[in-house]
Amino acid sequence: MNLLAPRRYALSRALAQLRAHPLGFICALLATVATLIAPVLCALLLAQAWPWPITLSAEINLFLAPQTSANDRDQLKTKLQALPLAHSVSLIDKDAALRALLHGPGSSPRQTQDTAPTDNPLPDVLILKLRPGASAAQIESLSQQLQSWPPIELVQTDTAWLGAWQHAGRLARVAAVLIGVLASLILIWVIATAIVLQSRIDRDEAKLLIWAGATGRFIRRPYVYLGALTLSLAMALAITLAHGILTIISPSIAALTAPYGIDLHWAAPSWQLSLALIAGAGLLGGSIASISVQSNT
Amino acid sequence: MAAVIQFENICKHYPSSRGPVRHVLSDLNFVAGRGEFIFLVGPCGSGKSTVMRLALGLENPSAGAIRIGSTDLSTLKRSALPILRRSIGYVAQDTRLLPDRNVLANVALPAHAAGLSKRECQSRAQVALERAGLSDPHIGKLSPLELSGGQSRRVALARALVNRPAVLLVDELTAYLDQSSAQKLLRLMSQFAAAGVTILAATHDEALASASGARCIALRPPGSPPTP
Repeated sequence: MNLLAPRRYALSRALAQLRAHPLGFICALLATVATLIAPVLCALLLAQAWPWPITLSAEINLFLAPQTSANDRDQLKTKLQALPLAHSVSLIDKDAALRALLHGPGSSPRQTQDTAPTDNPLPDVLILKLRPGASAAQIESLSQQLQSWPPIELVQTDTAWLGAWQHAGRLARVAAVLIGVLASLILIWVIATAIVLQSRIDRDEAKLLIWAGATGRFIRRPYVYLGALTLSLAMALAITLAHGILTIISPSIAALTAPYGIDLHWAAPSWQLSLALIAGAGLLGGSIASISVQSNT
Repeated sequence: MAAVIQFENICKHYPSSRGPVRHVLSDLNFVAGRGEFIFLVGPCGSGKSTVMRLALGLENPSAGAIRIGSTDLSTLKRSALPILRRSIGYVAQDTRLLPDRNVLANVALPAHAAGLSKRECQSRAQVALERAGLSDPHIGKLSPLELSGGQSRRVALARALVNRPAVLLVDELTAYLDQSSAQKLLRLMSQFAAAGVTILAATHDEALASASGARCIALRPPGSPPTP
C-alpha cells in the first residue's frame, strides 16, 4: 500500500469538488472572508499595537498652604515618593508659576511691573503622578488620605476621565471577545454547512467506497482537505484585504495621533505571522470539516 | 471444498415502532465453496439483498453466524471490516455509476480505496473492464451516461472485480437486460467461478437460475407457504 496515494487521491477529489461547484465554493469563500475580516483586522492591529507608547496614568495635584517652608515642602515630597502608588512627584514652584503667569500671553506690562514676587498669592503645587493601572477607587481613597496631611491645603483629582477610559477599555475587550466568538461560530457554521452539503452531493460515492472497503478516514479526507483549503484561502484573502484597508486609513490615523506625540505607521504583517494565521486557519478548517462530515458519512 | 461463505442459522428481523417486527430471514443455512456459483432465487421481499448486505458486513444478523473465509463477522472488529470488504466485490441492484467521472475512473474507485497508486489503479481498471467483456479501449473514456444498460451492468461488474476479489456478490444479476445480454453475463460469471471466484448472485428469475446450471438457494418471504 502506497501511503502517499490516498492523500494524492483525496487532494485530487477535493480539487475536483471545487471545479464541479465553483459558484458554491466562491460563495462559501466570500462568506468566510467577510467573517474573518474583522478578527483579522483586530489581530493585525494588536500585533503592531503592542509596542505603542500609549501609557495612561492619573495625576493628583496637591496645593500647599501659602506659608509652607521649603524644608516642609521637600519632606512632603519625599513622603509622597515613598507611596506604593506613586510613580513620580514634581513641583510647580509658586514664584516660577507667578513669573510664567505674568510673562505669559494676555498679561499687561503695567501689571508685570506692579506685582512683586513678595506679593505672590499662588501656592506651591506638588504633582503626584501615579503608576499606570491605578483604579479610580484607589485614587479616590488616596486623595482622601492626602487631604489630612499637613501642609496640604487642597487636593485636586480628576478620576472621572480615568474611570471612563477604563470602562471603555473593558467594553472594547468584551466587544473584541464577542466579535471573536461570533466570528468563530459563523465560521464553523459556514464551513460545516458547505462540507455537509458537499458530502450529501457525494453520498453515492461514499456508499460505493464503503462497499469497496474504504476506511472512514479515506472517505473523510477529501472533505478535510476541502475545509482546510477553503479556510486557509479565505484567511490569505482576509489578510490581504485587511492590509489594504489599513494601508489606506493609516495616513489619516497618523495625522490624528501626531499632535499627541504618538507616531502610528502601519507596516505590512510579517510573513511569519501571515503564514502562521494561514496555517492555523487550514488546521481549523480541516478539523471543522472532519467533525461535520463524520456524522454524515 | 473449503468454505468461503458460510451462513449458519441466520435470522434477520427489523424492529418497528409502529407495527409488528418485520421478519426478513428465518434460519437460513448455506455454505459456498471456492469457485462455486450460487443463485439466491426468490420474489421481491424474500431477503436476497439482505443476504448480500449481511455477507458484506453492512448489517448484522439478528441471530446466527456468518463466516467469510475463516473470519466470523460477529467477532470481527469494526476497524477490520474495510480490509475484509476489499476481498469481496459487490454489484448492487442499481449500478450506481458516478456520472461526474468517466468509466475508467468509476472502475478504478475501489482500487483507490485500497490505497493503490494512480497508475496501478488505472492499469487494474483497464484489465477489469476487459475481464468484464468491455475490451474496447475507448469505453474507459466515456461518461456512464453514454452507456447502454448492458454496458452499465458490465462496468459495475468490472468495478467489483478491480480489487481481484475472492468473493463476488451480485444483486439482480440480469436486471434491465435482454435475454441475449443476460446469457452473455451468465457465461462470464461461470468463467469467473471456474477461475476460483466464489459467486453469490441474487435473482427473481427462476428460469434463468435453473438454466445457468448453478446451485440455487430458494428464498421466500417469511409467512408464505413452502414451495412444493
